[in-house]
Amino acid sequence: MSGQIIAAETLTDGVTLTCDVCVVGSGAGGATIAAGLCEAGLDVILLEEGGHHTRRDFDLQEQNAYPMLYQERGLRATDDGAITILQGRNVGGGTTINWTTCYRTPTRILRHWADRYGLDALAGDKLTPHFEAMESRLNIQEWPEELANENNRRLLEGCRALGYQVHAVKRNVRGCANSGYCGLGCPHDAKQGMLLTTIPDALSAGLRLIHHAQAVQLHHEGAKVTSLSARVKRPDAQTDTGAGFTVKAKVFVASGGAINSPALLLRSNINPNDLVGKHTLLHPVVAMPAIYEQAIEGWSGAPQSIASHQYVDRGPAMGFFMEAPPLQPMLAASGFYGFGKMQISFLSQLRHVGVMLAICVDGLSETTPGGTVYLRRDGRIGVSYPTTPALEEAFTFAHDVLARVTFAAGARRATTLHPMPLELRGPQDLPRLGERAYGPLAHSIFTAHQMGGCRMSADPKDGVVGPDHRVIGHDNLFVIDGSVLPTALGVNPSHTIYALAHRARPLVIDAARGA
Amino acid sequence: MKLSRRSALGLGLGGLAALTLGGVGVSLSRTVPRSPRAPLQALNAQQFAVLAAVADRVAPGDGKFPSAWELLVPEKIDANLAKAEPGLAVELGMGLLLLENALAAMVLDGELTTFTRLDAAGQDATLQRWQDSPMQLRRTIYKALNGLCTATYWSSPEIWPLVGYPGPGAHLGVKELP
Repeated sequence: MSGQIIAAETLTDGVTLTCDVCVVGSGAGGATIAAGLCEAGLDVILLEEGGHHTRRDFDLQEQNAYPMLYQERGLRATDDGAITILQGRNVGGGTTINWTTCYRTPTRILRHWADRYGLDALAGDKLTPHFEAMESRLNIQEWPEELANENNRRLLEGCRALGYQVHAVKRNVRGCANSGYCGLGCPHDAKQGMLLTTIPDALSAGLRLIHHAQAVQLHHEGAKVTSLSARVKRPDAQTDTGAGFTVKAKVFVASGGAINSPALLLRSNINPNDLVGKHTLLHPVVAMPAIYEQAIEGWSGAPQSIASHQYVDRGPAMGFFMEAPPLQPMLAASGFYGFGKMQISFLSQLRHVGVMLAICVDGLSETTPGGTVYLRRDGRIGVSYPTTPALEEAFTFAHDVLARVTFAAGARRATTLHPMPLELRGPQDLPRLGERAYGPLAHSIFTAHQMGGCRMSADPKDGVVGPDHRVIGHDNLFVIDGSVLPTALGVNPSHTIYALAHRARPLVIDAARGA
Repeated sequence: MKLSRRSALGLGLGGLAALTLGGVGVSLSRTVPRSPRAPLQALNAQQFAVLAAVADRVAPGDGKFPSAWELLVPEKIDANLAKAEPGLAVELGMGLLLLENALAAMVLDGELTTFTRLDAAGQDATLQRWQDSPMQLRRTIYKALNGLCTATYWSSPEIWPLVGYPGPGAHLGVKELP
């Protein structure tokens, strides 16, 4: 059975569509679950707010890619503007624009979830077959260390010089040309994101994929969700056309990610335990750019292929892991808080600029509870992320470590991303890092990993979904995406979401067949 | 970027909000106008003029690097905002008016004129004050405006050869997959 790719604007305004299962969101969770449902013979509609783009649309220009492929045209941020939120909005979601790094969920995290949230169902090796299945489907393999680009090589060499733990990462690519443009859409169809894997799987098994369709509200009668209303979005903008439609299904699955899924539930007045949107975790990222004598050309080569977990577990303190970003001009510049000559003098040497990231692990302690997704008065989504002393301590320590690794890697000079950057000329300048404040709106902070907000817990009074992904109190509503993660992971989250969605396939199939 | 007035109120800055709203009227007649080179789609003329003044300071040009104005940065931002959720342009526009506001600047900073009427050094000093302001709202507005101007400027292909960036050309139009 062959499926259909449908532009929402071609639907008759006000039409009602019916299916067995309606999945909202086509990223790591939504596409993986949709493929399993279609292959089981269920009639599935998959709604995606963004557009359906292929490699022919990827012109690799930052000025076009971010508005086309990212939430809020690349302008999403926390309420105070302090944390820039990079998040996909397209068919394939984050997997179309992520940097392809894949990790299994760390054992210590699974153990913590079992201890704190009763998630024995995920503990030990219970997720192993699901990791293996997705590793096979997405060709997740270690990227050879010798293929690391210069920016990643600096991270490798700096960590090795200091005796830090460091390793090559696994990536979901097949025939990767090492171009360096993962974040702008893969021009070679090498990235094994949902766009090229589970979505085609689902389409070949009958999926109806409707793009530019925003799920607005789930309508429910008691415990049963009966329908979903959707808005049609303009193909060339993130605004409404004014048209809409309805989907009636036996089962609904929210897979819009850790910001949009909580928002959908809140718009639908579904809020078990008053926890929807709470404990939103962002893996807040701080960065340190540096100038090297040799050319780095960080825009070229797999953007992320080396990582260090030296400080991922700091006991009661907030840990962080270190990775590297791609360095096309706009992304490199966007970290700079200062303006005028300050920007130009550093970025004019872009060929020699390397950047290392420290990605902080929130949610593992009450001292770093994360933030909140909520609805603003005008209906738009708000994300608040208050600072805590533990967060500021982690940012401070991370700057010190990043500077040590940077200079161990041979940097000539490094800079912080404060409004008045602190320029460091060598390890002897490290004590000067104490001259600056650390925290939101004190320096640049990013997030590329959004998690939490619909926490999974075995205790029906302590979560939004149970271990079967079913929303507490709603028999035919599931959440399958990064929002169910009770804590941040300390690794890039996509593979955890793939595995959870793969595990959830029979649970949703049974629900649809039993309905 | 989100320019949340709730944040300001949370810091006990309700008085600032009232003051700035009152000051908008004062600012209206004193903004130095700029002529957009494309029809405005999201911002009004006054907001555009303030945005252009900010962009001038973010990337003033130096002989080698073009200015933000030369690269049509304010017009590009306006066009981008027009395709985003409408609330974004509303909030950004409010932030621009707060920056321009003469009455608030006079009371809070001892500054006697609007942002667009300051000379370059005065505008730089104002932006620096906003970077480090004890008022969160000002830091938020600065970060949003600087971020938009910076991102729009550095994403312009005209910049690529100046920083040694070859652009993606070698990876476009691939017919055969590797």
